[in-house]
Order: sequence, then C-alpha cells, then structure tokens
Amino acid sequence: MKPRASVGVGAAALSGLLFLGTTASAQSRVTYYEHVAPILQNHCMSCHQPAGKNLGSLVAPMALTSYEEARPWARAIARKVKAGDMPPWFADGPRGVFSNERGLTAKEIETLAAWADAGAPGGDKSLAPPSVPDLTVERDSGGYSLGTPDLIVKMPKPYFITDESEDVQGTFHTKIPEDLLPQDVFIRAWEFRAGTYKAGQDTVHHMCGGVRPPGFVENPADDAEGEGASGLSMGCIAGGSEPAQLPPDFGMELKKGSTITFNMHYYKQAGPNSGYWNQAEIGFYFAKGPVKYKVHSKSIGTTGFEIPPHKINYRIGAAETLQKDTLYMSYWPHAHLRATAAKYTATYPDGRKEVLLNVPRYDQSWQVTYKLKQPKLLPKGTRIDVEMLYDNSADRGVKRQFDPNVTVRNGPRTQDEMMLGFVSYVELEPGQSPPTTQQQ
Amino acid sequence: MTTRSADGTTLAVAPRERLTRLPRPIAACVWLAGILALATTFVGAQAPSGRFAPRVAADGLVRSELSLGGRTAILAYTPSLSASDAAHVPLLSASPTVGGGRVRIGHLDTTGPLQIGTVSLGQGAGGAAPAGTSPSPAPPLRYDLWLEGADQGWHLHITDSANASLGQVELPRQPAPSSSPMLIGALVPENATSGRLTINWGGYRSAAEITFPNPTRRRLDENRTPNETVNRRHNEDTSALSRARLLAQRSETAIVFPEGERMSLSFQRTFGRAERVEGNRNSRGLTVDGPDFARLMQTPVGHVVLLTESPVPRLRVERPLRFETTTLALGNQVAGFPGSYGLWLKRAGAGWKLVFSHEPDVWGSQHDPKTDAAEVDLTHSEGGAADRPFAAAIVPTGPDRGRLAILWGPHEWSADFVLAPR
Repeated sequence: MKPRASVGVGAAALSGLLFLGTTASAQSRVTYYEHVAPILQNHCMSCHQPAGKNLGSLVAPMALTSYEEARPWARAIARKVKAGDMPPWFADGPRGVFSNERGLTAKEIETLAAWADAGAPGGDKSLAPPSVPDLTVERDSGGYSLGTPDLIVKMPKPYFITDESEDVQGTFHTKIPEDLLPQDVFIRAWEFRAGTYKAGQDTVHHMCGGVRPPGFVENPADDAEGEGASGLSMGCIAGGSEPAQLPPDFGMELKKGSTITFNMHYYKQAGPNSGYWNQAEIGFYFAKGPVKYKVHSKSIGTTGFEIPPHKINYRIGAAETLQKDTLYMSYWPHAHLRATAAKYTATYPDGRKEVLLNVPRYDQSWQVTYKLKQPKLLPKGTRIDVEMLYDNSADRGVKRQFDPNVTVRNGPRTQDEMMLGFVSYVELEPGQSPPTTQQQ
Repeated sequence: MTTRSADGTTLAVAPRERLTRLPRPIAACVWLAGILALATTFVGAQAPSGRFAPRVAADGLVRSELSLGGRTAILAYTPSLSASDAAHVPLLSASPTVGGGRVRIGHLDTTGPLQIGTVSLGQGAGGAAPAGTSPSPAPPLRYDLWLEGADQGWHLHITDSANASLGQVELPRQPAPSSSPMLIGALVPENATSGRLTINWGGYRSAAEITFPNPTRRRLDENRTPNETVNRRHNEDTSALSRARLLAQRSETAIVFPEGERMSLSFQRTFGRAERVEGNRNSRGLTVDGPDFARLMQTPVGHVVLLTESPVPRLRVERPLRFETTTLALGNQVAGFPGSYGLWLKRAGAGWKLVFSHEPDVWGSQHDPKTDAAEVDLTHSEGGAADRPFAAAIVPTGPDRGRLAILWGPHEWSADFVLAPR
C-alpha cells in the first residue's frame, strides 16, 4: 500500500533528510494524546476495537482505542505503516473516488514512527481529542456501527462448528415473521454480524446475505442450483469489510414475508477446543423517504478455469455487457490464496476504455469492498472486463500455506480458487434519470 | 514481462514469468531450426521428461468424450477393428445381411441420462451427493455397443452389463469420402444438449443422434439441504466438485488416445432464455442471435473474433500435436506439465486461421496478441444448421490423429492434426 497523499520522490527524499536531521527533536515532541490518538482515531479504530465490535465482528486482532491498548504495539504500528501494510488499502487507482479509501499521509507515518522511537510516551491527557462518536454509537447499539437497526434477522438457530471442522460451508434460511416486518420496506443500509470472534483465528472466511422473495420455499433442488456466494443480492463480508450504506434515494427492496439467506463459510484449524458456536445476524436500516433507485448486486466471474501447478501471473478473465444504462455503486473482487491482482475495466460503446478499479496487490486476507463516493453511470452497451492474476508458485505457497504442485480449479474451500468480480448496481429503466451527483 | 489488461495497460510485472514462457528470440531460433532441420516448428516451451501422469490409464482404447448439459458420455473402442478382417467383411459389404455380421465395437459410459436415437440410457447414473458431503465421482453407467447388418446398412445394438438388450438404433450408411481401414467412432457436439455418434469404417460412414436430456443448469451437488452444512478437509479431493463446476459453465469434447494421453477442448455452454449462465447473469452463451455472432463476419482481416459472452475456448493437451508444419508443445505454461492454450478464430485474407495463445482462461474479449503462440490454417465451410450455437470439438480420425473443429451457425472451421513425438 502506498501512502494516500503520496508525494513525489524528490519531496519524499527531502522529507526523509529533514526527518533524519530532526529526529531527536521530533521524538521529544510526539506524544500519544496530542499527536498519535487523532491519527489512530481517524484511520485505525474503526477496525482495531475490542472483540465483538464492528465489521460484522470480524475485527482486528488487537484494540487500539486507548493509550493503554496502543502503547505495547507502538513499534509494530510504526513498522506496519512504514511498510504500507496498514491501514489496508490495495487499489492504486483510480484515486479519490472511493468513500472508504484508506491511507496515511507521509506526515502521519512520520509521526507514528517518531512516537515509537521516542518510547511511546503518553503525554498530556488534556490534549486528547474527543472520543469518536461512531464508537459511542456502536457501544450503545449492541456492536452495530450504524446504530440500532430497525430490524435484526438471525440465522434460524445457533450452529456449532466442531473441533474437527476445518472448512465448513452452509446456507441457512430465516423467514422474517410478519410481526417483525408487517409491510414492504426499502433498506438504506445493512450490517452483517458474523456472530463469532475467536481470538487468533480467522473463524469466518466470509458471510453472504441474500433476500428471497415472499413465497420462497425451502426447496432443496432450488437451493442445490447453487446461489452460493455469487447470487445473493446483499453481497458478502469478509475480513476488512464494512457495513453497506446507500446514498439518499437509493434502496434495496425488502418485502414482507421475505426470507433472509445466510451463506456461511467457516475456516479454522482443527484441534481440541477449537470448536465454537455461531449464529450470524443481519441488521437492517430502513429508508425514511421515497426510494428512486433499486440496488442489486451480482458477480462477473468464471468457474471453468484451471491454474497450472507452479504458474505465476496466470490471468483469468470474465466480462459482461450492460443491457441497460447502469449505475455502479461498489466493487468487490473476490478470490482466494493465490490471487495477486484484480482489475475492472469499462469499454464504452464508442470504444473508449476506463479503468474502474485497479488492485495491483490483491490480498485475500483483506476482502475490501471499494465503495464509490458517487455512483458511476455506465451506458447500455458498455462492456465490463474483470481480470485477476494468480500465483501458484512454491514461494507463495509457503507464505499462504497452499500446495503449488496441484492444478487449481474453482472450488469452495479456501485452498481452491475463485474468480468473482462483485458489483452492486442500479439498472435505470427507460426514461429514468440518473441522480445529479453521479460520476461521468 | 508484463501481462496486458483489457485496457492495454499492465496488470502486474513478474520477472520470473520469463521462466514460464518462451522468450521470443528463442522462439524464433526454434522456429528457424525447425524449418531447416525438421520442416516443423515447435511453439511454447519444450516439455522435459513428463512429470505428469495421464489421467486415464493406458488400456489401448481410443476414447471420444462429449460433455453437454453438465453430463459426460464416453465412447471407447479398440483401434484395431480392421475393415479387412474376414469377420467384419459381412458388415462392410455393399448389401449386409439383416442381423448378420454382429461385431462388438466398444462400450459407452455415461454420467447421466442419455438418449441415442430411440434408446434411453443412463437412468440413475450420477446422482447427487448425500447431504452434508462433497460429491465424489459417481461411477458412470456402462453399455456395450454392437454393430449389426440392417436394411439401410447398420444397426447399433446396445446391451447392458448383463448382456441384456436395451434396444437398437438405426445407422443408415453412406459412402464415405475416404475409406477408413480401421473403425473410427466419435461423439460430436451439434447443439447445446445434443450431438452425434459417428462411425466411419471401410468405405462407409454413419451417424446417430444423441441427446443429453434434463441438463444441469448450475453446480448441482453442493449444499443440497438448507440449514445443513458441508464440512471439507484441507486435503480432501474436491476434483469431482470442480469438475461439476466446470461443466456448469462449459461443455467439453475430448480424445483419449491408446496410451492414455488426453486432449480436451472446453467451451462456453449455451443456455435457454429462462436460464442463467454461471458467473455471468446477462449472458446466455454464444447463440446465433447474440451480439458476437452478429459481428462474426464483420471481423476485420488480421483480427481475431472477439467473444464478449464467453471465455476463450481452452485446449489442453497431454501429447504434442502437429498441425501440418506447426507443433503444439507441452509445457507452455510450466515445463513438465501438459500444454494449455486459448483458441481464437482469426480472419486472414479470404480465409481463417486458428490462433493458439498462452492464455487459456481469459475471457473472449481479452485477447493479448503478445501471448499468441502459433497460428494454423483452417478449412472453412458452411452447411450446418443456421441456429447452431457455438461449439468446439476435438474428435479422433484415427488412433494417432484427429480433427479440431469450431462450429457456429452454418459455419464450420476445422484443422487436422496428428500426435507428435513427446
């Protein structure tokens, strides 16, 4: 990851020289409460919270919400931010169009490094910034970062992932009782809570949610047709994901009598006492006013690929041509251990091309949804190409714990691969005007 | 070396990639050396001693495989059924005796329901995995095939494993353009869920229609029971599941030669209007009423045909193939492993060429000419059904040779090949 406000090479070098010359004085000045806490609040605390909070309970491994919590990690923080590993953001373009774009300025990185070098002093507590309102909301709403939901739907019953389990998948359905949802509504936001956090383990690989219309019957044959992860209209979360919030005038329809589908993928090391109970839930936030634009999600992907043993930079592609004028809201490239890069490209009907998202350093551990600040209008006939690169080498196999000697195909386990370019979108009906604030 | 993206920019750079692709200067040297020494050319990296074992055990049989609608049929026969054998002469005479000259020509395996002419096979084959488990390769059902004399030429008599008769299929004979000294059978795709079983023997050729009823639409056998989970181990064999997912998106033809070396060619399935394509909700595959077919004949000379509604067809070879003077090598992805190529149709003057690229899993809109490995001339003809969706076939024409064909609407492009030395 590059610092968000990356400066030129010359400027960086200059600041480096200045930094070397002023290290001692900088160290003496940098304290947690005055300098570090604002940076952590703005860029780190949304994930680094106590277990059970935020991100659908797929939280960071340590909390950084206080001086006491942050001080032991000062050197690790400095190392991670200098390496560009934190905060996690993997796209190098386009810049400035994503609402959840993460990154630190060179000055912020310098401050965190100087604080660590100075021994992580606390400083004057009276200089601390006010507490983060979002965190207060979360603590008061049972862990939901958007506040108390209008409706919470849980998996039909708790499910126990046994000690022997390694890679478990299941699809669970909960019909919304009429007393909880007596009328049709539109959803302006939803937040997944995976329902489990087990320290030191990535216990939930992903969680997907979907809305099935009223009258949905739990028909095994229908389910076997495999909606899986790709066909669920609410999308998915994995580590690094955030709640889904739609702009004003946008909403997802939720009819009374609907069924909520939970597609769960649990992934852990088998062993004594590794088992745990899980009951995921989804919090819904209703739109307060009329909704003009109905939001859906889908994937542009492929399943028939074969990644050869030991192959690097293996390109797999998929594409789709838009049948209507379409507003794109977000992108989520999804793959597994071998994926190293992802790119979405629009080819307009006039032949012009535009990179919608370029992720040159894809990391399966961070399933980032790239959310557009403003919807992107793409005219009918635009082709969307999604490409991903994969590395099935022995080097990567050591780092990511997979066997490079096998031909890798599409499959559900983490050791298998996927190539899915998720998008959330609105199809405009003929004559329907796009919002005035969309990207051109 | 860079990998070019759909917008012409690079996706990523990895110096080690040079190890896996033949650098152009070396390719040129190989090309030149081939012309001078062998009058053949080799493309892709040369395969060292084989590190992979053929998937099918060598049993001396030729197999022609056809997977449509998510199901697979395999025709297997010995390549030594000689037309000049005295026992076969009655079948190959100008007036065969009705019911006479009965010869067992091989067997047929099917992983699901299959209709040959009026005979229904494969009831109960395959089937779903038990709830809560991954599917394991279900044993296919096997049938013996017998050729008998008939009024119009031949009957195909089908028996089960207990030698009980399941029925006869008429095989009207026609004079073949060229004589086939050994029996050659093949399964050839014709439409989304139908094809032909063809037999060439002596001076005759014959065919029967085959249909794959009740095609699977998507990846069956997964998560069959709501509110129950599937628990998998990290070292579990999920090849059957992967195969099911592959056939949910693609159809496939394949040949297994007598030494067990398999050549397979997979291509996008075509779906009906009410169905959905795996991984791409707007596409129904390469129908003749789709945008790609409409653009086909407008492809500029020197350009490849872009397929916006399909991945590029993928050819996988476990033995080098020689197309006239061009040899398609193993190890083009990684030395010591089978060859894997993407196939592109290319307009070339008044004719057509087939381009083999080193990228077998890109979409049909993502051609990168820098990854092209070889081109061979194609024979183009018209005469197929106008509504025939895109199909790509690799079928045997002998125990050491075959034909690669692309079928789309009335068009048919083909190129013959022979097995080349390892």
